[in-house]
Amino acid sequence: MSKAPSKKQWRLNHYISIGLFIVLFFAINFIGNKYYERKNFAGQAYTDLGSYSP
Amino acid sequence: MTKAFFVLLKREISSMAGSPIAYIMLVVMSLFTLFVIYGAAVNLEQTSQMNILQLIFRSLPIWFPILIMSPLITMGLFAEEYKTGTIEMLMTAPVTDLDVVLSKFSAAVIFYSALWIPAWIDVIVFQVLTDGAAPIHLAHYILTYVMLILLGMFFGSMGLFLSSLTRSQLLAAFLSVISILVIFFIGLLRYQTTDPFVEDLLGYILIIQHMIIFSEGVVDSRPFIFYLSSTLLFLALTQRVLAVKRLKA
Repeated sequence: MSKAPSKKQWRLNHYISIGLFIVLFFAINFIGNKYYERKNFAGQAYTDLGSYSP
Repeated sequence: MTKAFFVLLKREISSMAGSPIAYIMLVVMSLFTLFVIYGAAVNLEQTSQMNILQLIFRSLPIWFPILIMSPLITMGLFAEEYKTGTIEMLMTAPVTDLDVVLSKFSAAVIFYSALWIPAWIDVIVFQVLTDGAAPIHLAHYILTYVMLILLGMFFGSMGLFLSSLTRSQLLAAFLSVISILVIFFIGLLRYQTTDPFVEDLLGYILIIQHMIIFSEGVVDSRPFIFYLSSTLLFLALTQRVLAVKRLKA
């Protein structure tokens, strides 16, 4: 059974994990902004109110 | 998903459903969206270039519930537990921090999504009344709802994180509203800048633009990446806050 980490070690792990989350967040968004896809699923479905009178 | 997650989710949903504030929010939201949809329907007469969903999300009043509802839903999720002391029970129960965070987050997103159902009924009724004279493609409906849920997830996770930092619901709501408004308005600065890098950066987080694009039936991968990664970041940070609380308990 592995020994529980000391308080100092726990704190270090805690801050490292927070740092990793933030770095990962920026990396994902940097790549996401660079390589992206865009697709129109509706076509040019513009409103035609010619036949409608309220 | 563990069994504990579903037990906690049920607890959160029944706690929300038992609160009169939830029903007040539902009624206020229904009336407010009805007012906004009516305004958009009136403006629809003057334009033939947009469908009603595009007009709704181009009008400023619809942003009021989008920006305000999430902080109101999430403000008490942790702050109330700290205040009443029930967090001690959660910390000593055989549940993981992740179960607690995910159950509260899921309950908030489910409730937020339910708040938009009356607005959707209004739009469908409008379609029926006008006999499809102002057609809306199915993609408009689905993508607009997807975008609203993505926004709800992003703002909800942020609200949950801020709620985990304080015992005061009011402070949690205040911090949440301020953070959301900062993100909302910082994107608008895109129209004030001429630097291409800054323009690209601010355009990436321009919430109004994302909503308009999706309500036009266009899917862009960038908002998906931004909102999902932000949601995961805030959920992970909330889990770390709980881990610290557990250590101190």
